[in-house]
Amino acid sequence: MVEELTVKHFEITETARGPKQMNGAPVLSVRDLRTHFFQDEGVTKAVDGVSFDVCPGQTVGIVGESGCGKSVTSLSILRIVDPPGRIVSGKILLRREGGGGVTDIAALPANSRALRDIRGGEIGLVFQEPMSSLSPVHTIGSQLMEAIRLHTHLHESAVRERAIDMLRQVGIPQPEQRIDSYAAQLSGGLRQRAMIAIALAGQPRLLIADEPTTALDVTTQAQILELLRSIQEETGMAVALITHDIGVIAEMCDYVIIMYLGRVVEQGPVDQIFFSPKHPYTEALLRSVPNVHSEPKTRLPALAGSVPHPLHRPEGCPFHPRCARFMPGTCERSQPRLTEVGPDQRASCFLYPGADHG
Amino acid sequence: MVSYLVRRLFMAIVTMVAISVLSFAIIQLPPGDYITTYIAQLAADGTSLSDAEVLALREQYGLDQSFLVQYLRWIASVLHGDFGMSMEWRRPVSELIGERLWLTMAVAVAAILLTWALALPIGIYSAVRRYSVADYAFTIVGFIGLAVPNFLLALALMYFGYKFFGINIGGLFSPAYVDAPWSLARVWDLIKHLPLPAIVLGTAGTAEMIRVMRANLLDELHRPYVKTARARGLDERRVILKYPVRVALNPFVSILAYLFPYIVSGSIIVSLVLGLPTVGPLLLRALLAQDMFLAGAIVLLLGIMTVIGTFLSDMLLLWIDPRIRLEGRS
Repeated sequence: MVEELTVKHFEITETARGPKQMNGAPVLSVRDLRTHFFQDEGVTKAVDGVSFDVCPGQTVGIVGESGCGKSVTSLSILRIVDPPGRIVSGKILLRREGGGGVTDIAALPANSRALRDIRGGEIGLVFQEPMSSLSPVHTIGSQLMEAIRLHTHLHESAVRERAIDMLRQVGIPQPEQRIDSYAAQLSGGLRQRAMIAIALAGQPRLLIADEPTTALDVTTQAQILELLRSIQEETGMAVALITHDIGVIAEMCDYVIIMYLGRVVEQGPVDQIFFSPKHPYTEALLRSVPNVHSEPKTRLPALAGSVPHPLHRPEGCPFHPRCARFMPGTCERSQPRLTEVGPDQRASCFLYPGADHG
Repeated sequence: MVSYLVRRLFMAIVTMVAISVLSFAIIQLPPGDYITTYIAQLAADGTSLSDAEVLALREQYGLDQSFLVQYLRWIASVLHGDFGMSMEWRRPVSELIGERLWLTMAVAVAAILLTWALALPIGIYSAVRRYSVADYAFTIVGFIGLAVPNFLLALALMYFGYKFFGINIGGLFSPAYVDAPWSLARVWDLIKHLPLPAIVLGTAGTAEMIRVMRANLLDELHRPYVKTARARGLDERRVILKYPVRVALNPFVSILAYLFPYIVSGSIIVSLVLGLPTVGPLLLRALLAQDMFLAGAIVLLLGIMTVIGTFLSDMLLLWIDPRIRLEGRS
């Protein structure tokens, strides 16, 4: 269960990209989302009251240790959580383009046309492991062309051409030949590029990338991130980047959401999160990562303890058993609420007034 | 890919040679030979043979030679298309087996087709709707099908067929066509008679294949590539049929190879009960009478058909699974 947060050097300077000018209302608003898994041993509350917004052109990072519910959140948004998992409450609001209104994805009937049009058409998804995310018995071209057919009205003769074009756009060399390759014939980096091409085939307005670089080597990681950034600049789509790599967040994101045991513990613009974290968990997370100012050859502070088993979630604030600033009599009694702690920054901690107001 | 083909073909030939040696050896294993049985028969009728006559007979059939010589003489003539004379029937083996072999294959193919047609959709349904009422129902029916001996099912079907419909459902032909020359009408008559033996012989295989398909598919249903197919907006039915089912089909195809001999060897008692003119009953009689050329030819042909079946299923696998194709290329 204990997965170390990736140790990677990062540096945030005052000149780093500040929050971009967000044009207009959020493309996606998740409100109090709860996805629970109903197993014989009990109910695992993988996602338990998560709310956040993603604005057009924005890159939102969702960070947390393994088992904090970040992947289940992304699966929930597309409604592809496998049983025994189920969205039990909450809203997933997708704002349609050009004043087309708001659709609550959580309320759409399963496998409905409306839901299938959103999958891939409005929201694209890239998974962590490109090898297992591609069919072992179909060519990447067949999967890419399938996505193109589903979301465009191109004539059959143009579909293959478009597919080759897309492979070229994501930086796959010799796309005319690679289109007929199977996943097993490509390198990890090329596979992930193919996955990205498939996710982008329907020209989605939001791309959810669930640990897109975790399975790749460091050089390839940087290339894939660069690719995502350049595509985003070109198309203006929003990106939700799920990762446990603080360095990736610093490099890529405008806005950060920190999750712990299925709940959002803190959220805010990237600079504020890095320079003035409010939640003790965020502070501990950041301290555990080395940066260029760290004293060499000293021990990095590690987060005490490990993530509790999701079936045995602690009472009150779920972080209190590991918290350096635990306040007996308060933290184990009730759950803190997300409360305003700075400009556009919220944390759920009893250190801040407002967290205990029901 | 070519090297894969060549390798498989080579293995097939080696296997066939081994089968021919084994089948000849197995037939010779029981003590005594056809002459022993023949003497016993004559003794039962009250006559007996002199030692000289016995010796002459043994010489005539080559039974006085060593195993190796007997085998080589046999296999040499088999390669020339001559399976020898049946000692019991005193007719050429090829003539005895001829039509029966084709009818055996017709019954086996009908049973396999039925197995596939039932097991594939039911297996997929049972996996996708795991622990549903229908899944449990299919599981129960399937295990009953697996547990009930085929011949018992045949007897039960014959009994009910006679009692409730007043028909005699044995054999592969209506009385009018039993000895008729081949014609379209006779083929049609055969086709009309095939479902019953196909059901009787196919039930156990179907039950097993449902379990195989269900287990294979359950392994695949929650793989990430299924999620990504769903995430690009593909309809749920197409997601299941195009991706996990396709991958799960692999062991389903390879199992086809041994389904064939399983059905043929399992058909002996059923053929006796249902009065089917297949090679099964002929083999049984030949073995009892130690009619070695007839029994040897049947065992050899069944073995060779199994090898051919395996080779064909390998080809089929090569076609449906690119991972095997890629193996040879790299």
